[in-house]
Formats: sequence, structure tokens, C-alpha cells
Amino acid sequence: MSEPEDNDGLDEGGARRIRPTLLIALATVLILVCCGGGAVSFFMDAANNTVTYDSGCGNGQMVDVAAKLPNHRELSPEQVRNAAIIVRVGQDMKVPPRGWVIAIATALQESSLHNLPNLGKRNDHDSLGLFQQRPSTGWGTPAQIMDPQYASRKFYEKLLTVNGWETMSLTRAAQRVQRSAYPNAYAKHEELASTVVNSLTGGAARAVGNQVQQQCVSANQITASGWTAPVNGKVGSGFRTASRPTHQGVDLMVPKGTVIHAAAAGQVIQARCQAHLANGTEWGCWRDGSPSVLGCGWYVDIRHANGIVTRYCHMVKQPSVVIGQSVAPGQEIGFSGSTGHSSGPHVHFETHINNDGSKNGAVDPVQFMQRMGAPLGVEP
Amino acid sequence: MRTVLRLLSTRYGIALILVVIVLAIVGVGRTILDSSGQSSPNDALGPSVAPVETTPEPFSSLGDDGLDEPASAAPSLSKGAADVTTVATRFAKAWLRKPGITGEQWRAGLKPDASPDLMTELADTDPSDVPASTITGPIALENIGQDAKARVPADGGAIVLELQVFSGRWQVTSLDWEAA
Repeated sequence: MSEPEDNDGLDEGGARRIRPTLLIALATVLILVCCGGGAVSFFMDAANNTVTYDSGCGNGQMVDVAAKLPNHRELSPEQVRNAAIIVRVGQDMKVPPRGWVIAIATALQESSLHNLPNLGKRNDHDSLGLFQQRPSTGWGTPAQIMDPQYASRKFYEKLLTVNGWETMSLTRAAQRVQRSAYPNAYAKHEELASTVVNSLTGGAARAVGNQVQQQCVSANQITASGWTAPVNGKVGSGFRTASRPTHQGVDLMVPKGTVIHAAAAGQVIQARCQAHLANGTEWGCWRDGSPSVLGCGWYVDIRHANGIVTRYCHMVKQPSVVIGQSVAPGQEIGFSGSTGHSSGPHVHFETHINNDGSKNGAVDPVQFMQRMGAPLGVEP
Repeated sequence: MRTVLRLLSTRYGIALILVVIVLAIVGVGRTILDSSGQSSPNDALGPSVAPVETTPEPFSSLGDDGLDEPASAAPSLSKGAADVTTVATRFAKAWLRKPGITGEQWRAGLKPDASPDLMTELADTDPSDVPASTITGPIALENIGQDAKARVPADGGAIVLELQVFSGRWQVTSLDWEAA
């Protein structure tokens, strides 16, 4: 490119005037073509973090029930279509995403998300449709109830009249509307309902449950799927690390006296003190423990739906809940401390599967809580 | 070559040089910042599933600071309290559909063996909605420690109960139905 110019000397022709501009234009085009993407990420924080569809907290779009819907391993296209209708009616009514999860879990229990006609002898009374609503108890005419849009709207209308429905356990909120003879039936569908909502909405079940504006949870907020971090402290020691291979949970760093929240709804199955010396001598939880004391100190175990158990150790005093009590997502269960096998205030937090509270059922709480949409270690 | 140098000294050339310098500085700065791990977990585009920050292990000498297993498993029942099979069976029988029973009568039959929270859930239930009227087989129990799960076969399915020992006796805390 430079050869012809070598002989040009001082003679500046009109044609040559264009050259610098041309060169710069060429260079600009080249830079844009070869490093356009890089240039954007150069200046933007956001582009440095890969955002996958599966990790979003809702795309904020209305579900188009007539469009092609995502496939689902456990559900037929017809069931997914009915779920989409339920979500869309909720969106139209400005119900926050917690309501969509509750509605789909309810329909999973009542009809497996099939728009059930009268099944004759097998039918329960005169119950019909997705939510098994009854014309005789004022839900509408049979034709109305068999319209999934109408049925969903009636469900939400009733749900919205339940005081505090956004913060109670899913099974309790659903039971307030449905008045079933077996009230604990709905909890087991919370996980699948959340998965369906996520696939239809780009992750809205991971968004803050009680606000219409979709947004990932920060500390002390509860997801639409009903999960929250128990405290908002950094993860000190991780799960089964090289230096602590028998560490069956994570240590969350918070000062003494910090409120500990139930990670999700469930039943309290343990709430007691465990602190003794290696020779079996009782140490007690009325005072701080030490590395030579064994046990969880004051601790709580909560059993959630689908065989999940969570554990919260080293509370400063007797837990705020008792065995047999039902807790709502995020409910206060106690205060952090340093009782039992502990050298300083922190919350030892464990997550278990297969209804197995022993070390055999323990899974990494960091991964587990991330999957539930309520990551640990998030700053306020 | 000379032409290139001359072009660089034009104002366009100087502008280009300045752009390159700015890009270089931003680039170097960002690389250093990124390697120090200062990425925010929430940002404009949406969430990042960023690795959770782990502070240096503060309790590395502690080993297992969780439960000292096995935690005592024997249920601490009061003297004379009924065993889990008796309680589950009695509750299941009281729950069955019976012609003409009122809600109050039905709840009174359930109350002695149900947890207070479970009774709250049943406050508005119409007993004619109970899907079963007879027990059809022996009760099956699993996971008996301080808590247990019981399945009671009945016409049309199975009653699924969760029970726990508290206040010195077995109480039903959860009630579900599995249709056959």
C-alpha cells in the first residue's frame, strides 16, 4: 500500500487527500470486524459473566400460550400448555411469581395438570378441571370451570384473599384455597412446579417471590420457589474440603446473635442441644463451646418436601422453634452463636437429600442452594 | 513506511494512537481487576452463577463441627404413651369418611393424635371430601427414630402420615393421600 506514495514527494494531489480518511475508515472497519465482541466486553462488566438461560431469574416476558412451548421430561405437551395458561393468567392479573408456583403445584396435585372432565363414578363429587373446582360450592358453571383460563383466574382470585399467602408455606397457601382432606399434599409438587415455571419464563421461580418485577434474590429475600439463604454471611469453610474432609456442611460467617432463617418451608424434626466432651461428660449449651467440645450445640433440623433435610448448628440459645412445628420459608428459627464444637460465632449449615440427616445424605450446600435459586454468601 | 509515519502524525493518526492507548490501559486495568476476583454477583444483564467467595478457612482446625453422630435415636416417650403404630392407626381410622359426621365431630376425633399445626390446616375441611372409607391392609412404617412415616392402605389408595415424638408422645404432623 505504501509503495506508490514513496515517489510522491511534496506534490499533494486532490486524490491523495482522501487517503488518510480512507485508511482510518479501513482500520476502523477492520477493528470492528475482528474484535467487535471483545471491544464490547472490554467496557462492560456484564459481558464478562456468562449468563445462561438456565440461570436467569425471569425474562419479564408474557408467556405466549399459543407459541411452541419448551419440552419437559416429566410432562406431556398438553400438561405444559395448561401450565403456560396458568402462568399467563397470573401474569395478566399481576400476581407475583410465587403465586404461579403455588397455582401449578395445586393443579399438579388436583389434576396432574389435565383439564379433567367429569369422570363419572370415579369423580370426586362434582369437581372439574385443572383445580378440581366444584360448581355446587360456587366456583362457577361446569362450562366455566372447564375453561382453563377461567379456572386459573378463580384460583388466583381466591388465593389473593388469603392473608399473607406470599410468605406462608406453599402447602398452607394452597390448602387455604382448596380445603383438602389431606392438607400436606401440595408441598411435594413445589419443586416440579418451580421447574415448569422456570422453563416457561426464563427462571421466574428463582426471582423474588412476592414482587411482580422479576429480579434475582438478594440477602433475606425468598425465591418464588420458596427458598432463601439462612443468613447472609460469607462461606468460611466449604463442604468436605481438603483440610476438613469430614466437614459435612458449610460455615457461614456471621456475628453472634444474627437471626437464622428456615431455608424453606417444612417441619421441625429436631431442636435441641448437643454438646459434650469426648469422654461423654455433658458440657451444655448455656455457655460457648470450644474445639474440645463435641456436637452441634443448639441446633435445628428441618424436613422439607421430597426428602430434603436442612441443619443449622451452634445457635447462641434455645431455638425459636420446637419439634413438630411447621415453618414457613424464611421464618426465624434461632440466633447464631458458638455453642458445641466451635471456636467462634458462625452458622454451620448442612443440606441433606434422601431424607437422610446423617453424613451419608449430606450434599454440598453451596451447590444445592445455588440450584434452589438462593445462593449462599450473597452480600446484602 | 514513511507514509505510515506521516499519516500517524496527522490529527487522524494522533486520534488513532490515543484510542489505542486508552484501549490498552483499560485492558490492562481490567485484567488485573478480574484476576483479583472483584466481579459482582448481580449485574445489569442478569445473574451470574459466580463461584461463591470463600474466605480463608477460619476453623480449619475444627474438623467436623456438625452433628456428633449417631445422635440419640430412641424416642423419649412419656410413661404410658401409645406407640407409633397405635397412634397412626387410630388417626387413620378417625380420618375415614363416615356418613353424616359433622366437621366438628370429625376434627374432635383427629385432634388427640394430630399436631396443633395439622389441626389448623384441617380447620376448613369438609369431612365428606375424605376419599376413603375403609382401611384395607396392615400399616407400613419406615424411618422410626424421633420421627416416622406411615402408609395405611385404604379403599382407593393409601393414607400417608408423618409422625414425630414431641411433648412426650407420637403426633401426626403431616397428612397426605396417594390415590391408587
